[in-house]
Amino acid sequence: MDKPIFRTNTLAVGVGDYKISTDGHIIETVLGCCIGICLYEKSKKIGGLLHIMLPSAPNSKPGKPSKYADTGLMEILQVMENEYHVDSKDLKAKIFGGAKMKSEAAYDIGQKNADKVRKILRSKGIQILNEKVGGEHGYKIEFDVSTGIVRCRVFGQKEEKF
Amino acid sequence: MEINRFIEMVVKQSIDRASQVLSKTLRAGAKIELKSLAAVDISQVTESMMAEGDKEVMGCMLDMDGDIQCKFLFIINAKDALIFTDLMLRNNLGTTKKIDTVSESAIQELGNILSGCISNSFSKDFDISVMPSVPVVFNDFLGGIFSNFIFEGSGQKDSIWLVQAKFLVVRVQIECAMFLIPHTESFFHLQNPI
Amino acid sequence: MKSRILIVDDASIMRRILKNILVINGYEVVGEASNGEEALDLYKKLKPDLVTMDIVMPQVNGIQALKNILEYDKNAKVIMISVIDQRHALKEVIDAGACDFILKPFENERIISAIEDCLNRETKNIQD
Repeated sequence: MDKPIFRTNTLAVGVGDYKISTDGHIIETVLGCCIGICLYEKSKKIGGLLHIMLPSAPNSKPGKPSKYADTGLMEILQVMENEYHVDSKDLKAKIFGGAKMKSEAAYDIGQKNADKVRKILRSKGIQILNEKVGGEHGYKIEFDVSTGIVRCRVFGQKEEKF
Repeated sequence: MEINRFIEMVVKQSIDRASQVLSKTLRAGAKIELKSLAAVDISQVTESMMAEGDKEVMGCMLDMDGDIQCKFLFIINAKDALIFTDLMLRNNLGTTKKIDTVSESAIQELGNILSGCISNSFSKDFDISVMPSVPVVFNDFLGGIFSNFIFEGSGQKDSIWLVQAKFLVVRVQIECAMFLIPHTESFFHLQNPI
Repeated sequence: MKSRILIVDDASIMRRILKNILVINGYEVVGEASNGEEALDLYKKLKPDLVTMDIVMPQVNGIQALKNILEYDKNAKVIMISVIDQRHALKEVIDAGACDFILKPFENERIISAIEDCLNRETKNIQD
C-alpha cells in the first residue's frame, strides 16, 4: 500500500500497543476483533488509547503486555499514574471494536475481549461512559484528547460521536 | 532467527511466478515489486497502516498448510475489485458496478490462484507439500483486515516475518498487495535444504 | 445429443466462467456444486457424462469427492481443474482415477480438448 500521509496532530496506534497524549492529539486506530479502550482524565485533558488483541496474557512467553486486556490495562494505568500523575479513579473509559470476523481463528474473540475489558475496568472503578462493540465489520476510531470526544465509524455505517 | 538467503530467493521467485499467473488470469500484464521480506514488530507494522486504515478494500485471507505454514492476504481497493471482476469475466470494463457475490467470488478466486501459485512454488523449490485453505473474503476497512491478518498470523508473538509484495496491473493502472507471514518454526528444517 | 457436464467449484465466478466456455462449445451444463459433498449428491441425481472438479473446497475437498464419485460409479469421468500443481496431489488424483488434470489459470481450448479426449475415451471403449 502507499506511504501513509503524515498528519502532525495525529497519533496512530497499532495492534497490541497504546499511546498517551497530553497535547491535544487525535489518537486513532482501526479495529477488527480487537478492542480499543479510550481512557480520559477530563480536568487535565490527558488521554490514552490501548488496542488489545486478546483477553488474558498466557503464563509463558506472553511478550508485550499491551497485547492483552489484563496486562495491557495494568500497564497503561501504571504509566498514566507514574508518568502523568493520573489517578485511575479520575479516569473515564469508552470502548470500541470486538467485531465478529469471518475467519474461524478470530470468530468469537471480539466478544471475549469486550467482556474481559468491561470486567477489568469495573474492578478498577473506572466508569465506562460509552461503548460500541460487536457487529461483523471494522471500526475506525479517532479519540480527540483536547475534548474527550471519540469519533467512531463502523464500516458501512455513518460516523458517530461519543 | 535470520532469514536464510535460499529461502529469500525462493520467496522472490514465488512472487515472480505469482505475477505471471496474475497476468494470465486477468489477461493483462502485471509488474511485481517485492517491497520487503523482513522481521517486523506487529504494533509498528499495523501502526504504519493506520493513516489509510479506513480505506475501503476487499481482501482474501487463507492459510497455507503442510510441511510449512504460512498466512496469506491479498488486498485490493474496493472499486478496483470491480474492474478485476470484469477482467476475469472478460466483460467490458465498467460492467460490474457494485460489490456483490460475483465480485466477492472474483477476489476469492484471485486469492486462491495466487496462493496456489505460491504454494506450488514452495513445493517445487523445497520439495515439500503445502496446500492453501479455502479463502475467506472480506469487504471492510484496510486497517481492520490487516490487523486481523497480523493478529491471526502472529501466534501471539511480538515480532513476525512479513513478506510484502505489490502488483501493478499495467493496462488498468491498478495496484494490489499481497502479504505472507511465514511461520518461522515450520521453516527451520528448510534452513539447510541442500 | 449434447454431452452433460456437472461443474464443481466453490467459487461462483469459476463456475460461471466454465459454464460459458462449455455452453459456447456445445455442451450442456446440467448442474453446479460448490463443495465435494454437494458434488456426490448431484452426481447421483443427475448422472452427468463428465464432471469438472476443483480441489480446494470447503466441507469435502475435490480429491475426496473424486474418490467418492468413483466409488459410486467406477466409470465416472472426472477432470480436475485446480491451482494445485504439486507432485503428491497429481499422483493422488491420477491414482484415484481422474481422467485429466488442468491447472488454473487455463486456456479455454485446453478445457475443451480435455473434455473431448475424456468423452472419446468412453466412446472408444464402447466401440471396442
